[in-house]
Amino acid sequence: MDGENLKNNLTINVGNGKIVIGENVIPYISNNHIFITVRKEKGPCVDQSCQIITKVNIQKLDKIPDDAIRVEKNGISLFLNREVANSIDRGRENVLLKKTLAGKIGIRGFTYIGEDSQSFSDHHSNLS
Amino acid sequence: MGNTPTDPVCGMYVPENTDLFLEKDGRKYYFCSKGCMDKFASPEKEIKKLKERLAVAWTFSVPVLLITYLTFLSVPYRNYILLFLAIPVQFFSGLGFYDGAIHSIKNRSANMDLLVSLGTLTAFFFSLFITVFPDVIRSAGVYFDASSFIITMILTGNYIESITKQRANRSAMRLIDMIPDTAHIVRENGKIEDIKSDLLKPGDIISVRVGEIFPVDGEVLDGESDVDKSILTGEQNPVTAHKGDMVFSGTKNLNGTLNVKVINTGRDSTLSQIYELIQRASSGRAKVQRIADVFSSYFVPAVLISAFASAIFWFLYLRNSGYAYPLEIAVLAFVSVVVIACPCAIGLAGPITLLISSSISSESGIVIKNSSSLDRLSKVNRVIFDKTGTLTENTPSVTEISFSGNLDENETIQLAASLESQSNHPAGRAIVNMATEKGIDILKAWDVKEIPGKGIEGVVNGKMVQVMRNDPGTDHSIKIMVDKLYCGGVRIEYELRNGAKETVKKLQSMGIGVSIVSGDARPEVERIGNILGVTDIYSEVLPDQKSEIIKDLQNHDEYVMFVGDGINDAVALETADVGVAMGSGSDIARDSGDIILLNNQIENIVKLRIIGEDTISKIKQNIGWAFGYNTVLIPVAAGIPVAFFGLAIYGFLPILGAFAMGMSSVSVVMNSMLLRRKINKSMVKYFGSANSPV
Repeated sequence: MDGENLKNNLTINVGNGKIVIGENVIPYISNNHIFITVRKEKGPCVDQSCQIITKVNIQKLDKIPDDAIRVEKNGISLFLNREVANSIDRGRENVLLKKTLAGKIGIRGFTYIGEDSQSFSDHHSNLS
Repeated sequence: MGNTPTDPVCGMYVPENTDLFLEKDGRKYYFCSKGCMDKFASPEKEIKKLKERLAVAWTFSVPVLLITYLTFLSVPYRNYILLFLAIPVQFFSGLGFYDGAIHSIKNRSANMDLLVSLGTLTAFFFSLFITVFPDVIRSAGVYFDASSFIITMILTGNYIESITKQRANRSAMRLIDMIPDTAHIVRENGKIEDIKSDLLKPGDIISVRVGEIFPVDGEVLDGESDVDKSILTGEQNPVTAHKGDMVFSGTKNLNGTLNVKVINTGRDSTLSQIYELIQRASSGRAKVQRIADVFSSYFVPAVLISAFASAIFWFLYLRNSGYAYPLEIAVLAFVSVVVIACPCAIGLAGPITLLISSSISSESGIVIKNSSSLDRLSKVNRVIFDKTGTLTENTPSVTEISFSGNLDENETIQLAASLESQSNHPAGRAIVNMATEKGIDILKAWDVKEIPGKGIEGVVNGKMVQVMRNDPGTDHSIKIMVDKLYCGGVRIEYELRNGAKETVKKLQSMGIGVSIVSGDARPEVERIGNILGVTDIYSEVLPDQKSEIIKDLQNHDEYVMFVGDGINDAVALETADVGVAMGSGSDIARDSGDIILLNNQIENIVKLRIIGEDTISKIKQNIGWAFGYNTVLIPVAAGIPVAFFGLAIYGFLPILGAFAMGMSSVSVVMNSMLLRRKINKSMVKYFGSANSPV
C-alpha cells in the first residue's frame, strides 16, 4: 500500500484494522476535527432488493457527534462513525488517508461491511 | 445519518417529520412517496397492477410485431395502425418507468428507469415523427416494435423476477404463515375464549391443544407435551415440554394440552425475530460487493455517454460514407445501448444471494444475525470451542466424591447441594442432582454469594459453606469447605455431545485449527481434548480471559470463530471474527454473536463454514456474471456485430437488447437459487449422502 512507503506516516489501530495517515495529511488532521462517516445512496435498480451504494465521507466539523468514536495516537485524533469503525475492525482493513491529485483528502482500502448488530465501541474499551 | 429512517421499499433516507408513515406490528415506517407507501401497505396490489400492465403490453405488442415482421401482410395506413397499437403500451404499461425516471432526475441519481424511459421514448417519438412527417426523412422505417417490445420484455422480466424472489424467500414466508390467527385465552374466571392472536399481551394465559401451533412465545404453566420444534431448529425429534419450560411461536404441540403464560408476542416473538433477520440479511455486505458499489455509482452515466458516443459515431461515419439513413441507425444504436445495459443485475447480485443463504440456514435452525459475517466465516482458520454446553452437555455428573473432616457424607453433600441449589452453574446442578438421587433434602441457604470463576459461598444450617474450584493439579476439581475446613472433594465429568468428535475431525480435515477453552480444571479439559484429538487447550480460564486468547490469535493473523454461550460468553463472541452462540433462542435479540444456533447440533459448525464459503463464492459468481454481461453486451449494442452481420442487425438489436435486459436480473436470481444445490453438494462431500441437510 502506498502509505507504507511514506516515511513519516502515522498508523493508528482501529480494533483489528488500521488507519494509516499519510505524512502530507497529518498537519491537516492535527489542526482540525476530522470525522469519517459513510453516506448511502440508492442503487441503480428500483426494487427493494437492490444494493444500496455506500460511500465514505470525510468531513471537517466544528462539533463532533456525541456517538463518534475517537481514535488517536501521538496526540493526533480522528473521529469515526460506528459503521466505519466496525468495518475497519471486523474487516481487518488497512485504510490509507492521503491527499488526492485534487488536493482533497481521500481514503483508500476501505470496504464497508454493513451494519453489524455488535458495536465497535462495546468491545474496544481502550478508546473514548 | 445512521439514525435517519429509510424507506423500506426504495431504501431512500426520509426525514422523520414526513407525513407519509405507517404503523405496523408496533413499528413506525417512513416513506419517500405515496407510491412507496402504497407498495408497502398492499404489496398484493402492486403485483396486481404489474399483471395488468403486463397483460396490456403483451396484448398490443404482439399485433405490432406481427404487422411489422409479416411484411407480406398489406395493411393500409400501416404506420398509423402501429402507432395506435403502441400507445397503450407506451403510456399505460410504461408509465411506471417514467415516474421512476422523473424521480431519479429530481434526486440527481440516475437509475434503471431512466435508461428504460430514454430507450423506449426515443424509439417511440422517432417513429411517431416518421409516421406524421414521412417526407422529412425519406424511406426511414418506424420502430414501434422496438418501443413496445422493450417495455413488454422488461415488465415480463420484472414479473418473473418477483415470482422467483418470492420462491427464493419461501422458507422465510413459511415461518410467518405458521402463526395461527386465533388463540384460546384463559380468562381469570377460568373460561376459555377464542381471540385473535395479535391481541395477546405478555402475561396472558392461553391454552394450546393437541395438534395446534403455538401462536406466541411463552412459559408452560401446567401440562406436559411433546413439541415439534423443527420449523425453528430443524430438529426432527420432538422435545418434551414441562412446567417452567419455554415454548416458541410456530412450533407444534403434539400430544397434550398445555397452559402457557405469554412472554413474547408479535414482532418480539422468536419466529418474528428470525423472519426479520432473514429479511434483513440482504442488507448485509460481503467485501466483494465493493466492486458492485463502484460499478453502480458510475454505471448509468457511463451507459448514457456510451449511447450518445455510439449514436454520434454512427451518424457521422454513415453520413460521410454516403449511407442513406444515418439518423435512423444512430437512433437505433442509442436505443440498443441504453436498453441492453442492466444495472439491476449488479445491484441484485449480493443482496439476493445473502437473502437465500440466510433462508437456507434458517431451515437448519441456524439464524444469521449479521450476514456480513459470512465473508469472515469463509476465511476462518481457527475454531475455539467453549467446552461446557458446546462440546459437552450442559450439565455434568458427579463421578467421584471424597470426604474428610468431622461431618458425615450425607451432611457434607446436603450442605454443598443446598448452597448450589441457588446457583445456575453446571457443576452446581450436578451436585444438586446427586443429592436428589440419594434422597437428601435440600435446605435453605442464606447470604449466598457467587464468585465468577471461583465458586459459591453462603450459610446453610448455621454453617459457613463454600463450594470452590480446587487448586490446580488436584484429583478433584471442586472442594467443599465448611466453616473454613476442607470437608470433601468432588470430581465432575461432562458427557460429550453427539457429533462433537466428528465435527472436530471434519474441521481439522478442512485445514481449520481447533482449540478448546474452559474455566474447568486442566485434567477435565485435557480428558475432553484427548477424546476429540485436540491438543490446543486452555483450562481454568476466567470469563474475561477468553477474549484475550482470541485477540492473541488474531494478532497472529488467524481468523477466529468462537463457539459458546450467547449470554455468558458475550465478550468472547463479540471479539471473535465470527461469534456463534449455541443452544440459545429464548431471546435472539439479546444473545450476542453473529450467528445463533437454535438447536444443540454441533455439526452445524461445519455446515456454517460450508454455507459461508459457498455463499461468498456465489456472490462472486453473480457479480462476475453481471459485470461480464454488461461489459460484453454494451459494445455489442454499440455496433461491433455490424462488422460481421451488416447494418441490418440494428433492425432487431433493440428488441434483443430488451430481452437480454429483462432476463439478466432473472438470471442472477435463478443462479442465486442454485446456491441450495451448491451447498447440498458440499454437504455430501463432508457428511456423506445419507445426510444432505438442506
